[in-house]
Amino acid sequence: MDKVVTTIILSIMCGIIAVIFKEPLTLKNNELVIRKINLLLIIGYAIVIGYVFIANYCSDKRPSLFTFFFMMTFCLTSSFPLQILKVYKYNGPVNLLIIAMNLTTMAAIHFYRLDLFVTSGVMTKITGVSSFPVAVSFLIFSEIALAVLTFLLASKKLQVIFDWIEKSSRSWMWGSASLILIILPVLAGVKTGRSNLGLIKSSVQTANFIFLIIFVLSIAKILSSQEHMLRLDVVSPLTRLKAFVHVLLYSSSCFIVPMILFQRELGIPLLMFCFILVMLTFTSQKWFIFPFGISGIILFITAIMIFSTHVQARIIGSWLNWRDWAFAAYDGTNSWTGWQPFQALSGVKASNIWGTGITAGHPNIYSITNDFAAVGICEEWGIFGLAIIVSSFFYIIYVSFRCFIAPDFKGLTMLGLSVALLLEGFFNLSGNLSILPITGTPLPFISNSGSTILCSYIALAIMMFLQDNREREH
Amino acid sequence: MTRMRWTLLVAAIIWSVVIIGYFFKINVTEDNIYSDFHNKRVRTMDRAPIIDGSPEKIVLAFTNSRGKRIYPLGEAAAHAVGYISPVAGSAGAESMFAEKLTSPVSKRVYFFQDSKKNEPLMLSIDAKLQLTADKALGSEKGAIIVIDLKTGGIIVMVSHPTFNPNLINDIYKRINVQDGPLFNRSLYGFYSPGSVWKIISIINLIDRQDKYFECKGTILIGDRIHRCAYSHGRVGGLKDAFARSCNLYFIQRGINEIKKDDFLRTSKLFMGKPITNEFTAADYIQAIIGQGIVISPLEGCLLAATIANNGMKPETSLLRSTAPAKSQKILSSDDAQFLQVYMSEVVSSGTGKGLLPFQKTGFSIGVKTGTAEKEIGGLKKINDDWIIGYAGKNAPEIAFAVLVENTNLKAAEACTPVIYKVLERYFQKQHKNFGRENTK
Repeated sequence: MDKVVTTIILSIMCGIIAVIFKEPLTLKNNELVIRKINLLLIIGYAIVIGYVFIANYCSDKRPSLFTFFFMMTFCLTSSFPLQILKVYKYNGPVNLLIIAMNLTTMAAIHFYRLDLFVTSGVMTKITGVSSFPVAVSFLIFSEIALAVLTFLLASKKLQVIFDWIEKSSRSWMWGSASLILIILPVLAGVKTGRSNLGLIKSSVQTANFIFLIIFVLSIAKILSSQEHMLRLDVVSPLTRLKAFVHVLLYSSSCFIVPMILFQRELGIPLLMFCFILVMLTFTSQKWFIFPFGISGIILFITAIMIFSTHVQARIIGSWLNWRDWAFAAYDGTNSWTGWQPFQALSGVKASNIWGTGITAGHPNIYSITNDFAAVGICEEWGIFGLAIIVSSFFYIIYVSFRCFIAPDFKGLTMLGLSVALLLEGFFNLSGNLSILPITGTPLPFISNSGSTILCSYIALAIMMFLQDNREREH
Repeated sequence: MTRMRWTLLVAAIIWSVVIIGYFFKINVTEDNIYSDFHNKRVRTMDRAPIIDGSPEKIVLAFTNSRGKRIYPLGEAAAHAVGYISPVAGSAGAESMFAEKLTSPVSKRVYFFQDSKKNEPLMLSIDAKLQLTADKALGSEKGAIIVIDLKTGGIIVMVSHPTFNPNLINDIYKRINVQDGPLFNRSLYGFYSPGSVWKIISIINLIDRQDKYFECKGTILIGDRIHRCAYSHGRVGGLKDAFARSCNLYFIQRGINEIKKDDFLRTSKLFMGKPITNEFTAADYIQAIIGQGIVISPLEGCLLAATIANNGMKPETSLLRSTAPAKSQKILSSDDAQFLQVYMSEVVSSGTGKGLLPFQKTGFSIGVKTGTAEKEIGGLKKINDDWIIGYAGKNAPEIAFAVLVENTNLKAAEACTPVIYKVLERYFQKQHKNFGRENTK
């Protein structure tokens, strides 16, 4: 029965992906198709949630009725964004929104099936309970994020914001905003990106917001501005070099170095550096920049390994040499650096390619609702589950590919956001599959992190706005 | 710009292919992840039963209807069969053959995946003989190993103190101590072999002219006095010295006629633990009589097996097999047969007299005993006693080693009664007339 239910939801989601790729869908021209897609997704979601509830009940797990009914309310609330956008006459393509909701639905089902609880964070503070269901927490954050997205698109505020950014904003404003967001939590008494302030204690991660929104917009602004136009025919090599150095120095001083120093973050700075390489390669059309830059990153990380045992452990112990520990005689303890990556590989291996079926797996790994969410999905949903995630991120790049015509501010923002989301997806999935060392990067739209979900949907709102803008210009 | 756009798209396609491809790679290769005990799923997987190698196919481990793993032989076969537990991990055959025990991975598509279970795992262990050996060792601390010379299969593996694997979840924390019940002495315990190691001297002295010796019970070499258990009087030669285990005979001939390097070279053929480079003359004298060096009960058994197999050292296995054991030539056939005669003499007229009834019945049997002294706390001394040997009807069929730790008795008193019971049971099983012949 597990496999039957999983097949139903997989078929629906794969069908949605296929339709999305076919053509842009708008509420004006394709309302019926969009409603059918939404209805199918709701039906599939309801079937799976109902099945998980019954399966847990039959196996004496005592599933919570509150959680079940709350999860079922998503069937109703999931169509609100589309309803509101129709009312406010948003006529842009909604493919990206459907893709994101596909992923959100997948994650909601997965977290409900896991039946885990959080013991810290915003929800426990607001409700006053000691533990709060992860699935409900994820759904609440997703619905808030969807509400924000709906507001941004329906109110048409993004046009005003973009015009201001393009015409009036300066680099120092972005840099200052970044520094404030990085340093403020530290001033509040916490060295990492978390806050120590009352309600939002331990739950606000500014790193993701800084990367996805502030950093992307600022780099897009710099690269598109007149004095730093990098296209071949326009500038001399010396001017181009100066522009490169300017971008690197600016990024390092306002974003990368402060984040490393004050927030002890290594994953997001690495993402930022890779992002800069992609954007510089793209806008200058100089192929050598990317491989040259990647080599620089590898050399830099190798140098850090000499001084940092933490980085050494991450790279050597948990990534390169995991077999030395994993297949040694079991001594009754689980303490070695590569424990989590090994559990991730075990989860992937347990899928047996096609997946065990929802509720038939044994997803059991620390951080399975966050950094390793994809592992749990791979184990039970199999190759098709992974393909849905990968093709969703691929679609984001595909949209950017279609919409990016010229390296102006809007074009570079569109490109930058899609590259940023793709890089996050790439690093997360690569870490889960041990292609690369784990960097602690969450998976957009899927990882249970309120900050990540909100930032991902804001980025999505910006992309949908820009796509709509581009379609109208044509 | 168009080219760059396409480059980005192609890069995204490559990324997608790499992720999906790596997913496939992990599922198709790395099969040992599937059965490694660090993978928590292993602890809830279906496991095949384990049965012994006897014709009765006695079950040694099975999973009951509630999913609990049951070990019918309990303490008697704990170290051989092992256990599997979410608290304690896994050990023994449950760990060694985890891949064979867990259900095979089916690569068929989704609904067509079969849930075929594995065939029962057949060990070389003989359940009834194992029970007899466990009972024979009683409350003594030690080990018993018996191997089948034809196949190299381990038919008895006992280690005391032992534990009940059916209760492993409850007792693990208490018994997981150094040198505790979980420790498998038969494979991993290392002890001084005592007079058993005189076999090494014999290998080096076989081709030399035999000599007699007057044993007065003690001898002064350098500034140290070396002793025998008692004064043997006139020792007629190598065979006599071996049978009666005269230390001084071997020490005297060893230091005068065997080069230290030759002795070490021969020793290394049967030892797993290396001897340190700082092997002094005093160390050498001690090594001649089996003190100051260590071997495991399995290594002692393989020494006897090599002699019984006409110089061919067999490869051992815990899995049942009918094929002849792979062997490695260690000694010449003549030397091995020579040693067989000597070991047989130990039974006829030496420290192995307790096993004479078997010889008188016409069974081929040869042994060597060894009593290794060790100090425990201050000047108090205690013994680790050994008996190694071979036995069979017309030709050697099995080799064995018995170790009794921390005893005040000599090897003949401590070990011979133990191996007697094991051999009696073995011969009753293998040779139907044994009981009747023995009573004549």
